[in-house]
Amino acid sequence: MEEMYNKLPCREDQLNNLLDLLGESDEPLPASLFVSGGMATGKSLCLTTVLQYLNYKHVFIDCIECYSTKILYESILAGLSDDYMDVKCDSLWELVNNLNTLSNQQNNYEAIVLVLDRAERLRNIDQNIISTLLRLREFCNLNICSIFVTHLIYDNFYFKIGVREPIKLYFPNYNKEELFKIIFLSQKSFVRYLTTNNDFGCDIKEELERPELFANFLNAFLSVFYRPCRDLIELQHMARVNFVKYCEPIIKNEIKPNDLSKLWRHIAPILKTSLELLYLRINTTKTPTQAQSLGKENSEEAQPQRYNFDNILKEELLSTKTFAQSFELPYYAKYLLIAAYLASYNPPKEDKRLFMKNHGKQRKKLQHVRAKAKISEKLNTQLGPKVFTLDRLLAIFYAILEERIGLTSNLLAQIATLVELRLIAGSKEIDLDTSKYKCIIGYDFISAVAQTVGFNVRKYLYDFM
Amino acid sequence: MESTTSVSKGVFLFSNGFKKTKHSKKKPKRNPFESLSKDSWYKTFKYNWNVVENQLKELHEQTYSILLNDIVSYVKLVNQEHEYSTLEGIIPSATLLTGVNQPDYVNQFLALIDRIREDVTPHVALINSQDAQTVKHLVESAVWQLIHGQDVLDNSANDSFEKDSSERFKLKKNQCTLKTLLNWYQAKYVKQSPKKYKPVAKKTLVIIMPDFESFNCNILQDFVMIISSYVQSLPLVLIFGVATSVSALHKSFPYHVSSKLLIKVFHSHPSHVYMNQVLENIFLSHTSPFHLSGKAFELMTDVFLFYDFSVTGLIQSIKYCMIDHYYGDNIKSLCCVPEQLDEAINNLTKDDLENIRQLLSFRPFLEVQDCETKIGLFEDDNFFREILSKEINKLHDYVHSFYLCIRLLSTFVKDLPKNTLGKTVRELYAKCSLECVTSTQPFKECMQLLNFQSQIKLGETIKAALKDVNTCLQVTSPIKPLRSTPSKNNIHNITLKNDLGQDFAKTIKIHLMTFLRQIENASNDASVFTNTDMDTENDLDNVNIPGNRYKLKEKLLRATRVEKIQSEYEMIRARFVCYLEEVFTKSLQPPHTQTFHEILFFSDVANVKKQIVGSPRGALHTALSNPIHYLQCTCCHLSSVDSISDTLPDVSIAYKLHRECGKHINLYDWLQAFAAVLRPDEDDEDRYKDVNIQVRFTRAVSELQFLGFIKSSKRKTDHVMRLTW
Repeated sequence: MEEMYNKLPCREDQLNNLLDLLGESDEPLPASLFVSGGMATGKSLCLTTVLQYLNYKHVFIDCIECYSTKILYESILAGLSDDYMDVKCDSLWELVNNLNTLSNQQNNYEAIVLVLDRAERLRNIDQNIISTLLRLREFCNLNICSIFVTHLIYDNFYFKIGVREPIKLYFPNYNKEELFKIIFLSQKSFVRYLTTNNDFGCDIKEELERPELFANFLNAFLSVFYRPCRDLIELQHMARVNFVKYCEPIIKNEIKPNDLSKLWRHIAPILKTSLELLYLRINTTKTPTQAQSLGKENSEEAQPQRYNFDNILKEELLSTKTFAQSFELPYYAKYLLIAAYLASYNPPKEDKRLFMKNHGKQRKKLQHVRAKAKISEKLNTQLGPKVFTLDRLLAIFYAILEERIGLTSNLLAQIATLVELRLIAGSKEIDLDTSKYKCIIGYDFISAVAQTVGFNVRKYLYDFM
Repeated sequence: MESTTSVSKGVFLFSNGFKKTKHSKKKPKRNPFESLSKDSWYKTFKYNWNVVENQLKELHEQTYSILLNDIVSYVKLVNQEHEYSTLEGIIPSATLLTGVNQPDYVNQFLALIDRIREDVTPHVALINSQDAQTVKHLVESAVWQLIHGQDVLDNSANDSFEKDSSERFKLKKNQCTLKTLLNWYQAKYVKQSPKKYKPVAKKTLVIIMPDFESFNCNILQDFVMIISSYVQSLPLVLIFGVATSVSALHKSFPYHVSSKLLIKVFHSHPSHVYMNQVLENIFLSHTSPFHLSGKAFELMTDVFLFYDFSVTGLIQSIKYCMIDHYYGDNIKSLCCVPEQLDEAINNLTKDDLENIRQLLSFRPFLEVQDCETKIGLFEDDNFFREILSKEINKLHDYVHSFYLCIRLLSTFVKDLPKNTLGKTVRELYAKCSLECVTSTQPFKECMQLLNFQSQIKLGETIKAALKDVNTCLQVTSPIKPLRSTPSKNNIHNITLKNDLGQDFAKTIKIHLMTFLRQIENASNDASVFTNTDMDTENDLDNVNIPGNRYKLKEKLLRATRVEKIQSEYEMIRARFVCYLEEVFTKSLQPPHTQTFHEILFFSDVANVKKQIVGSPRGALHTALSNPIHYLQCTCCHLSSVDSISDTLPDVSIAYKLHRECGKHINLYDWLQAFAAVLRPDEDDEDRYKDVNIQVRFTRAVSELQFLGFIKSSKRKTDHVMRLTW
């Protein structure tokens, strides 16, 4: 019991609640529980610890995996019976039947718990399933309890009217102190992570193992990261990456481990840059996998390779411009993309004015347009792309391309390629009359692409006239 | 066939290069064409293509190997590191950034699978987006491949345990869930390994998705989430092939999914680098007897650079050119490696020889000869054969030095500022083979610029050039002893230049070395040491081929003219540039000036262009406006393309009439015009009432609609919309 509280700090209330609800083995279990709370707030961990502590028979099902109901049923049955190899169960009544036979085999009124993780997925499967699972105990003769675990709130589950409402349990987000406490628990693993990848003298190792050092780091770390991010897993990961950098000067003997202000000055800019990456969600996806990478500022490249892709990659993610320039596309494909952009962001009425040389009545119209522009200035490029047809795309393509080239199959295949690369959205199917497309890239991107072919996009955008 | 849908509004989903393979398959490759295999041109083609193919394979292996090694070692490492990982449910994954043209990289992924199978684990699954319409399909095919993947390898190798397990896991597709995978894996490795396979570590399971962009994001997200819940018990690794950039990954995965991944990025070569490699190493070298003329070559590279970036497509188009070059023409069997030349010449029939005499490039050659040889060439086949063999060998020699000089030129020109000649070998080739480069302005500018280069820089470039020459000599040296003809050249007096080819390369090498030595030793001071200068001059004279008096004279002339102002280095440099110019003028003559160039060089661009750059709308237009082009009938002869006659097919008439209309076409007017064409004599009122005409008209209109030229409009009654412009 005590151990359990130690393992799960800051969740005492929730643990107590759970134990109150499930704890008495001679009482019938509640029919259903509804556990909700944000990501990484310890829902699943609490549940499993409690269930293991109580030594109940329980099945843990990840609903995302159940793309068909069959898998859901079969995994329930497989978890409950011992010979799990060949269970076949296609429908709900079979499930109930099977559960009933199971109850016949059982002599005592043993507690069984079904934990349905990511229960929000159940909403999409079948209307009846949630209602059935909510009152599963009424259908079979078992002391069974289904627990729904989800990150959504209860109101988002459009349960049918009249269902038996589950008992709700909410896991709040951790606050700063709690986060500190929890991350601090894994101090040893942080240090071990550091030491396995480096080798250095014993005295430094001792210094690194001092909990004060880690606590200082964590204070600094959370002061920067607590605002933008509350996700424990994310924070833990970021802390791991940054702790390595924090310790670097200590390992190199440049800064004394007890010189806090110097260490802070060292780590503050690093934390800030990692913060930028946090928003981009890129470094959550990447951890250093090798020792060599430790010295690197950017941890996503694990190996210092002969290519200097490191910085390129980072820049690529940080700015669309470099991203677009790094993009290699055939020459005409670039023009097609530009044409698609123009087609998406210009009203079709203005095509004549924009792309034809002798469009007549320029003066009158220009004033008219100016007057209008004030209202609609923000509209076109801000409102997002409009749908255009293949004909229009090709017409604009030929208008902006100086040289005359034939309409070849290679050219048409490029449109399909652009769709495939998700630069243009459109149907992949060949539809002769109504093939409609939409350009789904931004202005920054297209202006960078246009720059590589020496084309001025602004000149042809209605918004900028 | 897809081509039937290629009407005006079609979106063409040919994957690049696909169509071209079709063409080449139609040609002599397959069994139905076995009868061709007797023809000598076919044999030569086949032989040469095989050589090219092998070279390509080698090149592929070379280019992939570094990248593949990186990935494989990463996968291995992940396998080992798996135990350390304290973060839960995180899937290690590799992202391979390929170019935008994905069909090119299919081979790369196949090679990757092979490597992983060999080195790391037998359990590899390759999932294409077509197989993953739903999560169910995705999971099933992944699991199925993982479980059954190694059966292919192991069917003979292993003992009873293996058999037994494969029997037990003969699974139906719909039973393949991750649970089964888990059970299978535990049965295979966790339970068995302590007893039987102690050294065998847990094998990683690798799932490869080569075309990430085409996957539905939601499905992939779900898949990643599912896998992440299993990753603790199953060592899974994901490999994504991403065509655009890493941010595609971030775009399609929301935060809670991407936090389950551990991404490492690998870059593959950009496709134009790859293309340059292919072209420079395989096609632009003297090793292959088949060569593209400048125009054809330009067409290929243009298609690549402007349209599709597809190396496979490029190779296939070159293959098509090659087939077109050889097809049905026995004299093309001379287009072979020099060792087989004599045999090929002996196999030629009288007609073939006559055909060769008809070649355009034979004429200028003939004009130079005296009367006796002329008669001999026409009358005596054996004599002609002899000359032919000599000339073709000379052509080979020419080709050899041509490519060598292009490479040299490219090394010298590469680093010059605002380069007008082009940087890569392929650009230079296109220029050189179209015209006589040495007489163009850019070339002269380049040489001038070369005249300003610093000592160190020039030394380096010469070293690089020497390397080129050496590799060139290495490649050819094994062939050399086999070739005896060049030495015999002196017997006849018709030889024009006998100093090309191997010997040429050797002399260039010696010269370059001398210049290098001189340049390295030369002082940069303005003072002139006439003695040393004389020495170097002598030095040079010794190695020079004696016949080059003019050159020497010019050199001396220059030396005397500018001696006073220049330092020693500058003088040598000037001489060197002068020497280069001379060498290049001699050997960079465009191919079409050579005798019998038609045999080795492919130049029929117009013919191939139609096949390589298909233009469906154009074809449709010709078919409808000028049916005789395809029908080859006598009745439809038109005075001009725009004229209409009643003998034309109905669709064609309707098409021509509709071209005269605006955006909206009134059906009634159209019908009247249609009737007027068919029945010019009858009265206006009557003719369109004829049921026959109405039926024919309706049919023609609906055919046009089917072809995508018009569509019915709801805005105006009795009107159709024109869809083309």
